[in-house]
Amino acid sequence: MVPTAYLKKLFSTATMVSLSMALIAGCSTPPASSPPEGSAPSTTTSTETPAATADLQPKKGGTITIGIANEPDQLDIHKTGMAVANQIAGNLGASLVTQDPDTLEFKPYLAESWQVSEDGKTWTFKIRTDVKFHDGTAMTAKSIAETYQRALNPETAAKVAGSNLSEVESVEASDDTTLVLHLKQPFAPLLQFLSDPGWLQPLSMQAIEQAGDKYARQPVGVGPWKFEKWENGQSISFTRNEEFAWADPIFKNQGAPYADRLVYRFIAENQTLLAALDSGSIDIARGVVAKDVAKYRDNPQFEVKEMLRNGLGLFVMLNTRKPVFQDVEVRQALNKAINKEAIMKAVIQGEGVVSYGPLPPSLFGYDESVKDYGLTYQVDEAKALLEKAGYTKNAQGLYEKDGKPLKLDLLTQTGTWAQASQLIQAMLKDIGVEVNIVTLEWGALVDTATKGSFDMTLMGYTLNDPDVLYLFLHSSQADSGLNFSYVKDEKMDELLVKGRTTVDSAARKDVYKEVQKYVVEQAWWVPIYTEKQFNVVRKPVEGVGIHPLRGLMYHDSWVNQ
Amino acid sequence: MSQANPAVISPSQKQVPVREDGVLLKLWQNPKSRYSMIILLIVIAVGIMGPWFAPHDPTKPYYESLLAEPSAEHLLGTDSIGRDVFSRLLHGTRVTLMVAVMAVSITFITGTFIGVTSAFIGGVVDTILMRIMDILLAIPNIIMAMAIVAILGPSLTNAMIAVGIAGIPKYARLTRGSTLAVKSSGYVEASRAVGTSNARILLFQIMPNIMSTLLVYTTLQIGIAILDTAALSFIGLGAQPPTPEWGTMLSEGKEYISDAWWLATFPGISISIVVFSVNILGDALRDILDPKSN
Amino acid sequence: MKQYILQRLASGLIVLLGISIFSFALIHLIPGDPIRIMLGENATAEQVHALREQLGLNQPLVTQYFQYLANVLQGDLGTSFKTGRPVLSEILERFPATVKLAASGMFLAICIGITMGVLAARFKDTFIDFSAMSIATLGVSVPSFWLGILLIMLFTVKLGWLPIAGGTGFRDLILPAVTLGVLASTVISRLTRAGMVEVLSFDYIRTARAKGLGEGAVLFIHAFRNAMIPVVTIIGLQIASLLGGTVIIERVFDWPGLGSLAISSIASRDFPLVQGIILFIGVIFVLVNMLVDIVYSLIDPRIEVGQTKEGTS
Repeated sequence: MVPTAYLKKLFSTATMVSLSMALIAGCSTPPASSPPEGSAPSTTTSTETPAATADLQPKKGGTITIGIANEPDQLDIHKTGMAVANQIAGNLGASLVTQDPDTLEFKPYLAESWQVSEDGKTWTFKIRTDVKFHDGTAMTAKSIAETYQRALNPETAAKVAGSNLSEVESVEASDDTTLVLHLKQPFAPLLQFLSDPGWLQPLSMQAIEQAGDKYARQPVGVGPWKFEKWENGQSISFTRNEEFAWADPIFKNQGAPYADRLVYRFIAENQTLLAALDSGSIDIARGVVAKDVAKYRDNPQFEVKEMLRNGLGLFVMLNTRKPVFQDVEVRQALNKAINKEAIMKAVIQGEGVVSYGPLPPSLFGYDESVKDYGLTYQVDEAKALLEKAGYTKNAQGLYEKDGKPLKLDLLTQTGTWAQASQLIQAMLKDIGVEVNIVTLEWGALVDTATKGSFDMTLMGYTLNDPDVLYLFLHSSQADSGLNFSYVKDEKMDELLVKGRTTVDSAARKDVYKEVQKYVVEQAWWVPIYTEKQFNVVRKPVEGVGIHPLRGLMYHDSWVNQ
Repeated sequence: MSQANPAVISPSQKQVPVREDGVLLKLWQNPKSRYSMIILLIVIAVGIMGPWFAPHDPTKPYYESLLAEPSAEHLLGTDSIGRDVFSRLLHGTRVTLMVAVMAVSITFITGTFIGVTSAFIGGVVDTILMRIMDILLAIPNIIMAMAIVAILGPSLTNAMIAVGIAGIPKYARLTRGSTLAVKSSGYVEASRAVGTSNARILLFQIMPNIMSTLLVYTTLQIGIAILDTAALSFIGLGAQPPTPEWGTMLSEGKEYISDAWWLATFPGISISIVVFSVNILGDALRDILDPKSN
Repeated sequence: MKQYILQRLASGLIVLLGISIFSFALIHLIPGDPIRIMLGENATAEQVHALREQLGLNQPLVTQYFQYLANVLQGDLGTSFKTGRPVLSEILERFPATVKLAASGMFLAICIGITMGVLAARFKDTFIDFSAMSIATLGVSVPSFWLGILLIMLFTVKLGWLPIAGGTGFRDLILPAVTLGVLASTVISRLTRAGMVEVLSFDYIRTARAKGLGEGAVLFIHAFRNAMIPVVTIIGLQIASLLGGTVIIERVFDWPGLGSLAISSIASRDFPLVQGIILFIGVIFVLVNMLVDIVYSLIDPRIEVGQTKEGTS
């Protein structure tokens, strides 16, 4: 049908924006995996496993029901671009390598071992042989190679999976146990991406062929949970994979899951989600916001699982296509006019950390010293900078230049961002800049930002590797990617390429140290905060784990009934 | 089709112009409508003068007192970003009333125009217009309003337009029914026989006669408009921040319903009281002006 | 009679066609050139031209519309942008839940409305009348989403009596159905009251009373039956509009029906789905109304006269 066809394209520009609803998904919910070594300070990790429950013996049986706001579009992990699809499909899958939640070291999982060539461009993985797909076929190196070939095939148009493998030139399996990835250039985030049981899990080609179009709603993987059914608009449920004997070594439970079923229930209204948790309709509420979390902390019937978001939770992108923001002094002035602490306190009750640079403390390469050189709230300096840039106050108390008052549009979406945008508006009003808030729903916001017809937009991202900055700040991403600020800066490009190709972690850290410093100096963004993400678990369910980069883990979970 | 709501729509069978001078008096004599009128007069007064009495700037955040309980400083407490709820409620009265009045004006003007034109010209024009109204009537108000806002983009003005448009079809059908009843009455035919121009008939005979029915329905429509705007705000398609509109305040407040009761309660009660009074007044007006229709 | 039914069917058909035009037009009402929107600002003129050609948008609108209509008649309402599934199956999966909610809401509305109406009429101009009618008015004066949340807070969170978001079972149905019922009961109670007040003033009721019949018998055997005709009419008409009335309530109670689908599809700008939902609801509305009208004309020949006088429009 004609109109549908073109609108479908229209829609896909909104969702795809090269890849990345998943990265920038505005409103919270913990995603999947992340970076190596030493980057994560103590705030990142989970709260407690209460001593009382530690001695209990896990029991078999029961159902664990998880309440979550968004329903995925589909579970064909290559074709979806939604973060929530990855979270849910992660239960169906397993990863080549795994990442220790405490040390953040990479360890063998589906790959028993791996080797990297001298030039860093050939990776050889030895694949274990005892793994079976849910449809009964055996998983071999060949299955994984075919899975990645499918993700790389332009016809599949794989969004996030394709982007995670974008530096892979080719994949091959020389025999059932040997998988070889040939890279275009050394690619530092590779293991990080391969440690994710969602996007890059092995898929059963046989199941894909048999199911055809229906595969998107009856996925088949190798993970601890088997797809059971999808009730449209309500829930997706999984049953225990009885044969599962190849658990991720980071879990205590090395066999099949304890619970009989795992159910994701979709509840769009926040108040309804909480009421469902309170009344026991669901056992786990995902993405509980800071303001609601206090009452669960004090209640012994609930356990709060928290982690710092793997990404900058909130920042303002200034659009450098607009003449006003081509002036670095104006960009810096806005950075100094916004009181990040006040916003963090009001919007997320202080449950997070203030951000001064483009990376959060939870990501590899975060530089502590950004707090010292970052731009802080200094109203007088902000005004001075604007005056230096040639702006003068007019009769209405607004700054103006060449007779044009400083009036800026700020894109935002409903929810917590609405509050933040109103605070920013009030703060900028205080220094004499008028802000007009434009509230759009998420798809429309990304659309508008991609097209560049805005002055400022709120944004947030989540990814497990600092290479995310390449997607947001490299000139190649300016016209159709996520570089909404339209940064086209040679030095920036050079640093970002160096960041993704430097495999040695100490050297890589230095690169990102420089990246952060440069981004702060250029002030293309106004970083605001990175929030803690909360999940609340209701008592009969025990043993829910949290990985600082993957979020909640259910393999050790059981129902105490 | 006849999906007109008989509770409000029924082409009045009145053949004779009603004397309307006594209406206000009658409204005043009935205790229910008297209290409604008093309440609405107070609300309108607040809408006009409220902002002068607001103790704080309704958009100014007080960072040091977020979600503060009602106190002497903040009579109805503060919201999640520290704005004074009382001041927002006062300013919001004006915004909310304006939106309702504007939306109903859109409904009233367009609906009356279509209805009268349809009835007066008749024939093909009538058929076409009424078929279009039937089509629009088949789409539930709120879905229609949502679709319109989705197309125009969310803003208070667009919400107002959407709510206004969504109300037109019922209104046009009502007007048409009333106009037909008057048109077929003896005295219109009589004036036509003596050569009175169409314009005169329309202005001096039809309009005054259908006004009473329209007045009833317009009053009730104000309540519907306030509720529809609030519903749009609930799904994020209403007023844009930081505009203090009651529906938006209620919608923001619902997120804090268990830890800051004052946020949703006051705008919720305000909306309910105003809509309730409007409905009572509308019913009373109908009893007086259009008794047969009940 | 036959002629009336035929006439009724014909006018229904015209309206259905109109709805299809409206839903088709919806997508063309999005401001701006869709191709430009689609390709973004950096597109070249060639790209724009090529895409327009490829998508058939260079064809006259009328041609595009007939293509659309032909597809719709074959049950092809297009494909959802979000899920890539046929719009019709998305809608049909959600529709039963909405029917369930609307039917239960209607049932409750009838119970509440008739009880209140009869009570108010029997005790006309007393405190009972006043309270019943005030409550009825209050039902349409409170924002439904607020009422819904308050009910959840009370019955689910505070008292723990009823579940929320547990599925579409009976216990899950109670709260949303009550909310909807309260909303829809207002018109019914008013009409019942008005009808009963009128009937109760008739002579035969006085006669019945004089004969020493019990009050219950007078009310329910003699008066009620006669007062119910307008009420039954409005109930028929309300069924259709209730389908739309569930939109907000479904969202509040996380009820997986057509209403929550409508909201989420508008939020995700899934236009084929929005278009499909509008078309679908419109068709249901027209069919239900047609059915109601025809059934009444069969039951009560007087209605036909009333209808045609008002014009079948």
